[in-house]
Amino acid sequence: MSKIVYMLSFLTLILSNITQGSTFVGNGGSWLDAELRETIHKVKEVLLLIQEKEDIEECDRSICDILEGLSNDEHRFATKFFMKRRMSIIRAINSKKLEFKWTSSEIRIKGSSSRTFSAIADGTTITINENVFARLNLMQRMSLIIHEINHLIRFDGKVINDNRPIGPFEGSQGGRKLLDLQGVMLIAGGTRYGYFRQKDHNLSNPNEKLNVQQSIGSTKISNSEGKRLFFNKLKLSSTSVEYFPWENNSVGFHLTYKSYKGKSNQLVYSVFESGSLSVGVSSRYRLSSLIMNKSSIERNLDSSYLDRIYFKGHLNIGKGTAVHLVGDGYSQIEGRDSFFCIGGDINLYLPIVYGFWFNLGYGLQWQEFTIQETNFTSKSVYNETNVGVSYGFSI
Amino acid sequence: MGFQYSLNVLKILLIILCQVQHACSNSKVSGAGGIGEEIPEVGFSKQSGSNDQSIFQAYDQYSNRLNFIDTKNQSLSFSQQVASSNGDESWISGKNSSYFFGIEGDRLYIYRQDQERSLVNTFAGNIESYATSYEKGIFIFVDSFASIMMINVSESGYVESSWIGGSIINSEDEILAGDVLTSGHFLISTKAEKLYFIDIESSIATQSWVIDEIGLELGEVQWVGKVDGNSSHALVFNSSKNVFLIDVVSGTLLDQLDLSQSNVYLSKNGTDHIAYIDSENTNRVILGSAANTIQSFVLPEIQNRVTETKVENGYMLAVSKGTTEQYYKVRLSDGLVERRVDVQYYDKLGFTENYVVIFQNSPLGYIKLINFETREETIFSGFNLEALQK
Repeated sequence: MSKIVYMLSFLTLILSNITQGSTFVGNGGSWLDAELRETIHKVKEVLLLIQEKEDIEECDRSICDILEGLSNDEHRFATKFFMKRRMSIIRAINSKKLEFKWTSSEIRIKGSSSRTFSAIADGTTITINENVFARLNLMQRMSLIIHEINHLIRFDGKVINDNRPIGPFEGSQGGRKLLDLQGVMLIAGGTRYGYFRQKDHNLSNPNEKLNVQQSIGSTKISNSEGKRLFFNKLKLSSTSVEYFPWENNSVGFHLTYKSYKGKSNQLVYSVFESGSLSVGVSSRYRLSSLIMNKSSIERNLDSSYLDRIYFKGHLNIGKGTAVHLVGDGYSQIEGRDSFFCIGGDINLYLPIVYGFWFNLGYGLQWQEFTIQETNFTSKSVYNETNVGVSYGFSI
Repeated sequence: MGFQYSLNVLKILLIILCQVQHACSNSKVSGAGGIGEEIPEVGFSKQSGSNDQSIFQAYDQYSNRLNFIDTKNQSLSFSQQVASSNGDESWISGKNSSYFFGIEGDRLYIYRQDQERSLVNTFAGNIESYATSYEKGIFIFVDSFASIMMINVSESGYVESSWIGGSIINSEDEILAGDVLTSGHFLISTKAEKLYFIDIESSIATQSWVIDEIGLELGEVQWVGKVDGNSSHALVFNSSKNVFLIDVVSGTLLDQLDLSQSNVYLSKNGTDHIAYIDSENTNRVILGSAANTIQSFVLPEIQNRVTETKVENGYMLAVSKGTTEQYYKVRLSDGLVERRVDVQYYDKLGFTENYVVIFQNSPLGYIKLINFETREETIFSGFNLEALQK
């Protein structure tokens, strides 16, 4: 029993650390924090790439059609506006005063009751609707961020409002149009410098709500149990389906079928098989949230890849059946027993492409049963290592 | 069920003698000489503590212990682990397997219940034969120099008294053959053609041979056989191939038979018996009897080469080897071949009046008992699992 308590404590510790979080960027808690950090980082990088106005005037992407539709005055004003304020935006990003907050509620502004917003800037704080942000692609996210940061930087001593005209951008939505164009120009500039690589688009993203995982591995059981099985290494196979219902929450649920198999054929032949179906909770946590945000190495690494790497812990409880068969040329003994099992694991997930992931991990599983016919009792906690592939997708 | 054999198949003789190795030339004798019977083959021995309870024991290399099969109760039991490390130990059971001896070359050990073996004696030569009275707890072991150790063993397997003596008695006469009769008398013959009782208890007590001569002159006696049903009777066979039935207590000759023209096979398997082919080429077997005459039975003809015989309770059990091994149960009174059981393969095998016991070389353990009468099979299997898992 003490082994179970130990195992549960171990896994609870892992999961409690993983699920602990903050709604503030930099504290590394919320599941979308890394995505936001990656977005801000890329906004800053693209702004640093852009050196002259020609960089944002020409592009070969469809998004640039928007630029073509502007009047000469609007285009000139927007370009000048972008070039003049780009360093201010970088300073704002670097400022410790800048604070981001997540909300899962709809964002509404007084006087615009019929409309909801993706984000809102107020003072030095930008509040973002996490459900919206999670569904945006990288360019959309960058456009959103530069739009909101522009709200925080005064123009001619005034705060820029979406619903007020500014320069040649007339009408009640003039401000919004100008700030939306800042995003377009940012993307145009990044595109000119080949910043948005195709491989980044294809790289698997951990935001998918559904995961299907297949893992294989092995576990070494205790010598005393191994003697009764006639071998002490079992192969394991695990198939699980996971669901993460919340956009900005690390916690999900899983259904897992796990099997252990082993056999030997020396003095006698011995075959062991067990299968269990279990349910449990999952919790994921990005590697970058652990190490990247507090270190200068962030700037030196490919954050697109590293930000996608994550850990995931599972706790599960289930029920299964074990079968053990021992025989030689003259006789055969077979027995079975059912059992309850409890276990958990921690896995590291490395992105591949198109939603596929490579995972490797370590787990513990306890399952107590006795197969009287073959004199085999399982009591120990199985220590297991595994590797596998998973596929994430959203419906 | 029913009789599966055909008398047509039982063609040529139970030439026990001519078919048995060492007995194939004219007028030969097989099985003569020495005291008691030979130490059983390594790893397997059979014991009949009493006629109604035949216990077979076989060494199991996988569990490193002896398996005891009680054919009467159809039960299987085990000894503690034996110490045989190089696989050349033989075993002889004591009464009801509560203890047993281990013989390894010149060393004699005793195993008691749940204890490691303890050394009883180290002989100068290899131990070659033994004689016993299970009921009285008397065991006699003889080595290759004819040194004779007499041991009195308690019910729980402790040596209560013992003495080892040489083969010379009366300073000049040498022991030739002998056995412990069911009465507990140790009957011996000498080269000087005399018969003696050895008083085992007194010999042990005085640490010297205490003997009592039987006033019978039967020539050079080479073999002494016990007689079921009368503990004072003995069957003896001399170098002139004469068989005598004697009463050792009264010292009288009861009956005799001349086998000088026969091939003779002397056997202590089951009831001590002598099988032979007479001058008319008839196969016969003779036994002692509680009456005053030698019992002689004519045997039917059996197809294949007979390799082993055993007599028990009025039946002779014969083993013949052909493409398969066949076990015949023959009623001695009228030569009826009551049953035949075919066994295709086995590792070790024993048989009693009612059962063939087959030990297979199975790591998990596999022993089959085949009932001669009903051909029903009783199988013990998987009994080594726990031992293998240690």
